[in-house]
Amino acid sequence: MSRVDGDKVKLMTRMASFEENEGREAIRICNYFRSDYVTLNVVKAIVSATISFALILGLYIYYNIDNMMQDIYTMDLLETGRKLITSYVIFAGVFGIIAYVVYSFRYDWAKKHLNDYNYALRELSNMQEIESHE
Amino acid sequence: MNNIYDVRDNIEEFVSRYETLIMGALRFFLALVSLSVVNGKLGYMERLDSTGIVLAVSLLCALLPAGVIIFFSAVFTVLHCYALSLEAALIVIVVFLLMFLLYFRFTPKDTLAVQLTPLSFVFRLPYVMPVIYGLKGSPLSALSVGFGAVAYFTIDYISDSADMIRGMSEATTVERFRTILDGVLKNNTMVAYVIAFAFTVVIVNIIKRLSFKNSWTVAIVSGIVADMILLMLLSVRLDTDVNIAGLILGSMITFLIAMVFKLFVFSVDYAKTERVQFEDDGYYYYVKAVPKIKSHRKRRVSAPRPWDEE
Repeated sequence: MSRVDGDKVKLMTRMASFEENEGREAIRICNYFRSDYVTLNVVKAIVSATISFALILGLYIYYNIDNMMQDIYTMDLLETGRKLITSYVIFAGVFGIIAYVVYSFRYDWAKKHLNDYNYALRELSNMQEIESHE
Repeated sequence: MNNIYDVRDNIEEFVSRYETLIMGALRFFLALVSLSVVNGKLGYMERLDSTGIVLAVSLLCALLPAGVIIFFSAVFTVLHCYALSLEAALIVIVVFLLMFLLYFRFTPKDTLAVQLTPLSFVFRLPYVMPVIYGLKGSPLSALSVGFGAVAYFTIDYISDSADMIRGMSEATTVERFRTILDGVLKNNTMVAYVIAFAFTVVIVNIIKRLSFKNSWTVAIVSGIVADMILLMLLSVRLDTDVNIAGLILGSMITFLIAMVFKLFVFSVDYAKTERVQFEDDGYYYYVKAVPKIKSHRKRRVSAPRPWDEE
């Protein structure tokens, strides 16, 4: 039976520590393709922005409910609807762009960390190969 | 100065050894203080305002991840507001939801800033937060500290206006809602603090990153001075009630606290003891990796080294 190799234990400990800590997130992110990961999170961000917009709009309508009830018959509903949709598109669009930038950076960060991990994996594989020949 | 380094080394060694226990105790303490403050400031739901419940929830928080503390603090706040008035609870829920949906889903780790900023206001040391988060975080922490200030002023307004809200029993729901929302949003003191704190975080963070000697100390001093000037200017411009004497005294205490943090927290690597397990073809490994402590005390021992004698 082979003896315990100190260098191999050190390498495997570092790798296990990576898997336990920052690597957990990096490995989870890199399970996706870049485009899938970024798109999924942009969609989630737009859903968040939509709920937030609805909440803010709800607060605004409830706050101004008396005036709105008075003006409802004289109000240009088409123009109001257009303004509302434009505001929503700008709000969700800006939020989507921010999410795109944030998650693109996050994917690149994870990929970089995972590259180091893959390098360690190759080194471990080489060690094992040498060990099996001895 | 050497004694300070000795103390720092000892703390580093102690934290490294009992890391799990210390983090659990800190979570328990933070939850206990946060929930007690919420109960103290609001406390309208009698069933929640009990030491037994606070202790039980704090104990639960000690065992769970740190993010749970803010969840329970938010739940306590909403329930107390609900006991006072449905409209107040509705506004607080919307404020918390907007914070979560628009910002904290991106940076869940920064929720601690929202937890600590209101506490710093309660303990009359709010100026500490932007400086500490400028040193610790990124420029984006400006938003976290800003949201923390919004959370504090929202709770503070409801706490101060509780009698007025109760007295509005004759008013319609919409009128109560409008009065509370006006009080929460049209608060110039809150606006002044949010703007000043956001700028302070960015200033401290930018200077801290510059590569010159004592950049951290310069960042702390610049941040404190910028915060003071901004708050004074905004206090005049927005006609707010910022206490100038308190601001100056608080800024001096902030300097001391920030320097202590710089020495004992940020410049020390409290590397964690790692316990990992893995296997290969021949063995199962249960490894406890203990970080090497680079002690200043040990480095100062002037034992003769082999190459010194040549």
